[in-house]
Amino acid sequence: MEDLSPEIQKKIKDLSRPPYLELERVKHCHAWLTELLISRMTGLLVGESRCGKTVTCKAFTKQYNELKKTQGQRFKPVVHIQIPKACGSRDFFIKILKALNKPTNGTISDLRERTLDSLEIHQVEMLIIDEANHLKYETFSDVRHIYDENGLGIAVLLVGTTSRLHAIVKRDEQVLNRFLEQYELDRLDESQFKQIVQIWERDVLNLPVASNLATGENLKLLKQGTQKLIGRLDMLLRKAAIRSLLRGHQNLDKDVLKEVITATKW
Amino acid sequence: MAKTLKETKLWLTRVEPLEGESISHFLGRFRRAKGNKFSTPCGLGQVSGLGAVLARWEKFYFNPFPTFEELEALANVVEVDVNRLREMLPLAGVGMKHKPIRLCGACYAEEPYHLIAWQFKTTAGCDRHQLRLLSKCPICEKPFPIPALWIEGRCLRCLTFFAEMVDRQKAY
Repeated sequence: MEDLSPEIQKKIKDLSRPPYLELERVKHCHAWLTELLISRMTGLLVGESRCGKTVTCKAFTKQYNELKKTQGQRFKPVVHIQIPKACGSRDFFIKILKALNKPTNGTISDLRERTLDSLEIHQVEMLIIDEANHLKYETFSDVRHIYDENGLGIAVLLVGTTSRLHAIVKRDEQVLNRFLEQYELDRLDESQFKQIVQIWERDVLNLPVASNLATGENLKLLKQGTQKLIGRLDMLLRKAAIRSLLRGHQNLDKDVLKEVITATKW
Repeated sequence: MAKTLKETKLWLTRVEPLEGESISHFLGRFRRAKGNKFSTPCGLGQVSGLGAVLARWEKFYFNPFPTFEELEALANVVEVDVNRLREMLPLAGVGMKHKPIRLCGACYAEEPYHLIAWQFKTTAGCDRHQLRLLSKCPICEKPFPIPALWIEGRCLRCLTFFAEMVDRQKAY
């Protein structure tokens, strides 16, 4: 790294952080999320792994909370939590309490009561449960409780990979009957994929020399390597760009791209 | 300790102290406040870094006497001034009766909370109502629980309300 110019070093540092771009598909999903929040309903956000669900949800949470931010108030309209593997009630409440800067110690009954009260006190309007397929079967009763609790009136969104989340929701008819509406973040189609590759090359990588990623063999390679999933595309391109810069190239080198794709096992 | 709390900025619900209120009663109210919910004093002790010492304060055991640092650690969590917390403790040189818990039913009927002054050794009765303090339930003779546990303001055995006990208090 020391051999590289300060500009290239800065470029590599920038590329190491996940970007956020206001794409059309994200705007569309945010409009659906806003509608869900306003109507205080429940919903499922599904899509394949690495299709951009988490990034979309995090961006929505940040934007909505910023929009409603009033200085000095302990006010958090959207709470986004990511569920760990085999998540029981205790872990579930702890995740929510942490998001609300609350203490996470005590008995399970303390945690349950503190969580329900805190959701009300801090005027939470929507709870986004990411990786909801990791919730244990019995923990879904706590999710239901939060939605059904009188006076809370908050929207609840379950997020997860299509097949896994459907399998979990279908196990319990009480859950199935409450989470009827769903939004699917699809794989990109041919033209969308090409467009996104162009956007990424221009706005995310922004290398000194053009790499022509959206044409010919480069595009073919990317399609195969990413299966047209936006999360994979982002990871591959940023990794290949960093490696190219480290090797002294001015653009994303095709050989490096091949190398990264071959080395990546999805 | 204080630094850690400032960094984490816990969003606990503030509870306003009442005039002359004992620390035991205040801590009980704080622990039960909406959004706080600590079923034991240890839970709050853990968050404030004071550990089991809060359980002793709730029972009016002040030996060793609370230090400024301890009160500051508590003040950071409950968001009450250290000097205000100090007022909930016995005055310097005043002996404390940690048992039995005492009560003036007439005062309680007016303002339902436990006064620290009722536990002073020097306090024999209620100056305001000219009544002797009660040391146990006058109906069933069960000792009063510690004020941190006064939720409904009634005897836990015979369920008589503290405010109704004024009829059984003797003149002072």
